[in-house]
Amino acid sequence: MNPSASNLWERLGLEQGWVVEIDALDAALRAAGLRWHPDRFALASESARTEAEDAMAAVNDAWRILRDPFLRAQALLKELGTPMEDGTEKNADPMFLMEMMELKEEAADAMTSANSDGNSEACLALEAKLSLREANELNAFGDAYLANEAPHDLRERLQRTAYLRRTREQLKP
Amino acid sequence: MSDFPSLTVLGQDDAPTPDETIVLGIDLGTTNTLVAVYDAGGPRVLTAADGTGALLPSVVSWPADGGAPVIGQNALDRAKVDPTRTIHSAKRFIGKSADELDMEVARLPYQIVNAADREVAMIALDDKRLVSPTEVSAQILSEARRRAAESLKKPIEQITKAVITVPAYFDDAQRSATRDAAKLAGLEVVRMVNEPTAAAMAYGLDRKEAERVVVYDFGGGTFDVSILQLEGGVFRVLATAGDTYLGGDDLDRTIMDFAVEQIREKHNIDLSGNAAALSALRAAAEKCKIDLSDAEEAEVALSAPELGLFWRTTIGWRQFQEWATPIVKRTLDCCVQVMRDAEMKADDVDEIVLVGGSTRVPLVKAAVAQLFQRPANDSLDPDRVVALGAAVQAGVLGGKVNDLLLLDVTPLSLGVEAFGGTVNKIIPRNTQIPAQAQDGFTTQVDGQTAIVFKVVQGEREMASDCRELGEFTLRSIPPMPAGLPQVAVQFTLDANGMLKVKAREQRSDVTAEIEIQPRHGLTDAEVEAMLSDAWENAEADMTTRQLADTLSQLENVVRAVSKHLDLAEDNLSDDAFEALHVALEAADTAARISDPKELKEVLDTLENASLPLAEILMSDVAVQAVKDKNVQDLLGDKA
Repeated sequence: MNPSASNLWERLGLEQGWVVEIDALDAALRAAGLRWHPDRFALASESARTEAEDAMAAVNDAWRILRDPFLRAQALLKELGTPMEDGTEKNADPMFLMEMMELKEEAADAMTSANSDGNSEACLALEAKLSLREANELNAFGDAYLANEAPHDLRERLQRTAYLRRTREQLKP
Repeated sequence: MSDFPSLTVLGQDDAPTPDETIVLGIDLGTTNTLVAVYDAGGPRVLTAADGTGALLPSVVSWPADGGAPVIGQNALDRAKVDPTRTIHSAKRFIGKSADELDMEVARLPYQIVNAADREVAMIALDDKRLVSPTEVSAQILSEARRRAAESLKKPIEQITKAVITVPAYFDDAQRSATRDAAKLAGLEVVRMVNEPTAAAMAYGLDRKEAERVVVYDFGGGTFDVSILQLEGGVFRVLATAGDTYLGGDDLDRTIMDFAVEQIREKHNIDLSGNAAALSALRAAAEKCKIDLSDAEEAEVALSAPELGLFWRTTIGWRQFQEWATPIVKRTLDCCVQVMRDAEMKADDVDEIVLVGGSTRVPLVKAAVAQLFQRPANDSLDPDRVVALGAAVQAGVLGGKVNDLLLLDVTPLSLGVEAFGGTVNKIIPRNTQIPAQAQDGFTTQVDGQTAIVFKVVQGEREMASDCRELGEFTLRSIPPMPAGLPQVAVQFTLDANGMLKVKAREQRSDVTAEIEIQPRHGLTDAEVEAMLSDAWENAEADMTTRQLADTLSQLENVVRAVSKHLDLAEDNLSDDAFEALHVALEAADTAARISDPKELKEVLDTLENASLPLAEILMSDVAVQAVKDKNVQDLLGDKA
């Protein structure tokens, strides 16, 4: 375990890869926390406290990212040297883009029909549909990663997932 | 990710071993304040050495004569006679501006105004004296500290550290104002813990099984709900929601509003602005609410002879339930929100822990049970559980508890205002703390050499709808075409949920050391000024208090002796009577004495001179006993 590592898996003492056991991840957080959490240094010197704060912030960040399959996939791409860049999905398949535009319209409609809490049936149904779709896409990404698909193709897959994710987030109140 | 300096110094060997460091756990509540400590027997709530129990009412009263402030139960007793100078519920105003408190102000017996030059709510005791809510909290904390020292039999200088609980939903301004209050009271806040999290620590201390716990914390002035995962000594907060302006006070207010309306209709008397009547009505409404917890109906009455008003009515629980429903509904909305954020359903919850006095209201219990489809756990004392949890955390921080780990989250998103007034969220809500994150910004105009950043906290899309924490300017950027500078803004949220900000222009390496000027709080300079003020005033305050105490004792003895003066003249020797007479005369002019020692001598002389009289009065009781007893007690008893 090494909180100052830039590799997120290394930070938590885990082996880099697509598959991350949630239990192992949480156990790593616990171990790191018992060692580096600022609570362990509450009465120590200012500099020791600041260091603990930085270390635990880094651990928390790694834990958060690795726990979320989409963010984890992004981190893997970064390690492969093909990071996803914001707003550059120019290579996306036209069929897919068409479908996404329809989904966005559907989302906009659902939002208009929603009450002030954003809780309408249509919203919830669409959110469930998008979540499922996103999960399937991410599973496919994982399989492709394990099958050593080319990083460039992996990135294209994840860019599609990013579309779905953004549309879904738009539905949240 | 930033580079870390070597972490080798963080080895276990360097972990502090502070055997004797006392860290208090303080629940600074809207209505009551409690102090607990962690010792060999685990966490325990301290009770006052003078036998007044564990609850210190969070009330401070400033006498009109400029004397030392009165705190706790004594202040509460003064609310009726001196309502405009007796401050309760200061926690509701801390870190807020007067404008934000508009709704509340009309019903308060005292005036709330903004500080001269900023948006900081201040309480106007009279035309001259303004006190900030921070000062009110500081008085309460310093009394809590004094009582703790007494109860622990330690010199007060050894009591300098505390864990203080705050509502989870407190924002940065409210947290820093609370920390300032502690500083003024001579306490360093080693950790601010969110109240529902503290409650969960007290609840989960002895739990071994993994479980998911909802803490529903409905207090006097604030509401919080948190969902935690408890497993293997790790308390991990999954999500938090709440409202810092929703509590039992609001339930009382429904009864007050009804009463004010009735009195206007039936008696044609307008009570708004009548501090004494409103203060009395507030107390009556609260009592009525409490009575309705286990009665079908309860009375609320107000008598104001100066207005010719004697009013009473009975309120049925159904009526009260109807008034309370919209308020309870708001708490349930927060519960739904927190489950959504934690990605959980009601079914996934293993236990519901109720915290805060307002959970005693039957409607609240029933509504929570219905939402989560199971009865809530009310086996813990809702008044004490937060203080106990604060003590557990004090135990962790002081090194007495080594196997517990608390992982909390930030309740509110943090960001900066972007071009066009929208918010760039940098740390989203429910992110585990401590946390660090950064975002990039650039210039809008060619040759721009400075960028102003507004730091905001909240969930809304537009910065103007969020709470502005403050702003800072990154200067000395070399002139470049618009869009070329790359400014990285880094947010660091510490384990107290408090923010530090750094900004750096990466091409020129210009950095800004950022001191966010609090928009709704006191500046560091003001706190320092108040601190030195407090030192200067401490001695004067202490003298005033001693003089007042001695004088009141003296008055009691004079009163008691005067009653039996005839008896004394008939039975005492001439010398003894003469001594008593002289002592009484000296006491007569004692109010003019300004030196506590001198005043004490007058009291002692009178007590000694009245001893023979006491002996006569107690002649049938063993005379020896008299000498051991306080003369004043004996005379008082006999009288």
